Amino acid sequence: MDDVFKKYKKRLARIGIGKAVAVALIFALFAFGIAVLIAWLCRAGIPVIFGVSGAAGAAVFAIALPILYVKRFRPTERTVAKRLDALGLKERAITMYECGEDVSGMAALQRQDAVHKISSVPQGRLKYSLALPAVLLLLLGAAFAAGTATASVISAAATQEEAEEETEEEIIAETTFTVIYKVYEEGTGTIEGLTEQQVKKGGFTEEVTAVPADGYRFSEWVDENAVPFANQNNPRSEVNVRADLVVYARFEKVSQPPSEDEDVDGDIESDKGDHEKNDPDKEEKDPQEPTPSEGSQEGEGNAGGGSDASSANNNVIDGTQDYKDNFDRETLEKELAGRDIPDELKDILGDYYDTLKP
Amino acid sequence: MAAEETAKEATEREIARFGGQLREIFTQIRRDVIGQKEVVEGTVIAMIAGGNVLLEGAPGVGKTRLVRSLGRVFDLPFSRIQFTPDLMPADVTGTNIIVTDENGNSSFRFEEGPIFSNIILADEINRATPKTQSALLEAMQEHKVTVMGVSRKLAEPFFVLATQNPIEQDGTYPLPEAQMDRFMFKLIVPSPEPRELKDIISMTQKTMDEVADTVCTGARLLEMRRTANAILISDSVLDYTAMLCAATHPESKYAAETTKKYIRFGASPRAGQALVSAGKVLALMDGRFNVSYDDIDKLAYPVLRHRIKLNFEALSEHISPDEVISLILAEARRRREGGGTKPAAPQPPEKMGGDKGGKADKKKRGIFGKNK
Repeated sequence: MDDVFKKYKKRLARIGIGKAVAVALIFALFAFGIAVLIAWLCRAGIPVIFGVSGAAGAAVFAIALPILYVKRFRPTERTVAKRLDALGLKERAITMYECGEDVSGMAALQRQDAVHKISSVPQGRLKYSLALPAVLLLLLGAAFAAGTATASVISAAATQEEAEEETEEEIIAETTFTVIYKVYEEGTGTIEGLTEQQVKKGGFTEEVTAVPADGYRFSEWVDENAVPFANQNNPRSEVNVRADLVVYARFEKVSQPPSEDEDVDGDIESDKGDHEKNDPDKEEKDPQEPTPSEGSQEGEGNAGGGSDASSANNNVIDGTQDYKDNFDRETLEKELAGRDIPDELKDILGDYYDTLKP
Repeated sequence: MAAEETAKEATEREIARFGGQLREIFTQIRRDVIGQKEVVEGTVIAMIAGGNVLLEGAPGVGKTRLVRSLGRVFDLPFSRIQFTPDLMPADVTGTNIIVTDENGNSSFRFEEGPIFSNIILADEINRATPKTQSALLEAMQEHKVTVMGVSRKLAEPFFVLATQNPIEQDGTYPLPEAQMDRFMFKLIVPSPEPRELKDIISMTQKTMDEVADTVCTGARLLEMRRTANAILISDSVLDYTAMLCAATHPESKYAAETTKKYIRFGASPRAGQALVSAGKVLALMDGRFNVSYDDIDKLAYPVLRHRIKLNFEALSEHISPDEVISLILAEARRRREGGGTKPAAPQPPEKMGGDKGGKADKKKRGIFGKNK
């Protein structure tokens, strides 16, 4: 009987392997998809996702293939007989197989008849076929695996990008900047508080106070290029620090108060004109804003002669600066920033300076 | 090996004789019965397999003629019992009568009824009362008759070939399930086709008598039965047969959807026995030495149609037993091939001795009646 079924069995074995591969592939695809999902949920990177999932799929395939073939698709003589009968042998093959031990005359005749009929069946009639549900499952498994893989790749890439951004933020957040407070001109004042502070990005410094020396008063906070800061509060604190910073406290000399006569006279215009008449050289000598060193010389000069007092009358507010060629409201506002002057007075002074414009 | 060869040669000879005998039987019956190929074939199969046959058909379609012709062909004693409402069981089985001998002594003597024959034609069996119908029960199943406490064996071979008319149901007594179950086949005898009718008319113009020659004997018929019984049947086919019978029971776990919907009571185990016994004869007639699924499917109609009891839903929808069997077979075939249990559209396969089934054939079923 083995000889009768041999060629069909070989063909059915090939068909069985094909079916086992297909079904094992279904299992493997689903295992791959599930592994991808799990790896993705564990926030693994793309190489890990594909490495682990591929290994899981391959392992399932390797395990399932032999089990499926041996347990389900390996042809036995019985299955060969049934498949042959399905080709129109009218149960001759299965009866021959099941009654193989029967020694009756009828059984012998049946075997003879069956062998004759079976030999007329070409093995090519045993077609490769896969059940529709298996085909559908295969497609479903492929779609599932492809879908999860694509989704996880997209998601993992996005997560990685986010993580990189977060890392960058963290690095930045951990960066500290140094804020140094200095006096613009030595000897004109001091700074109370921590003059050198380490601040994290976006952080703020502790307050420092610019304290003028005798004969001086606080003027403004400037940077290294002598550009004033917008915030001229004293005490001062830096907020949202995003770079190293050096802040200079600038002090200015306090001018001597005017004499009583001059105060009674009060005609500044005429005083100015007098001053120009009386001391024309002074205009040439001191046209510019004094530098810190010049200021001190000027202070000495002022202390030494009456012409200096006349000059002080030409200066606005404290007499240390001459705005007659360089005045406007903006400069005034800059000058007045940080000073405790009522707004009404500021407006009056502003209007006054506007009248001085050429 | 030599013994096997000898047995094989002996069987070959038997089968050759079987085939030759069968051809002769059909040839002779065709001389008396025109057409009705499937009915003749079914009747002969049942006789070889040792079963009784219920023939259902309109008057004049050749039921009685077929039975008479079979009696001639097999050279077997033939009794005809015309069943009527006033027929008594003793009229069928026989009875004890008082006889007086030469010396004047009286004693009982059993006078055999018409049932003591080899072929019984129970004509219009559904016209007798259930009491008389039941007189046949023991004879049909056990081939013996018990009268006044004495059992008498009937001659072998013994067959009951009953007829019933599906129309004119007034004054009839439908056969009870137990009686029905004792018929191996219920064959529906169709009206002859016009061409067949022409031949029938021509033939009967010459003579109304049966002309078939005797070509077989009772002993030879029993030999044929033994030969057929030796035909092999695989476990797979046996499983299928058992599953098919179980599928007709609505409470069974193998019940087909159709069964649950349309059947009240399913077929008895006798149905399975009949399928296998008749299947073996059919296989041999087809030149095979094993029973196939197709044999079982083909025989399912005559074997099951009178054994399944349809429910009210089937009756109200005018669903015939053959249609229900078609659906059950379709489901059983699908299960056999491992394709699930979803019911298929009715596609009756080739079947034996029945109406063509299907809703498209309503007209014809109307003529031959619903197979209740």
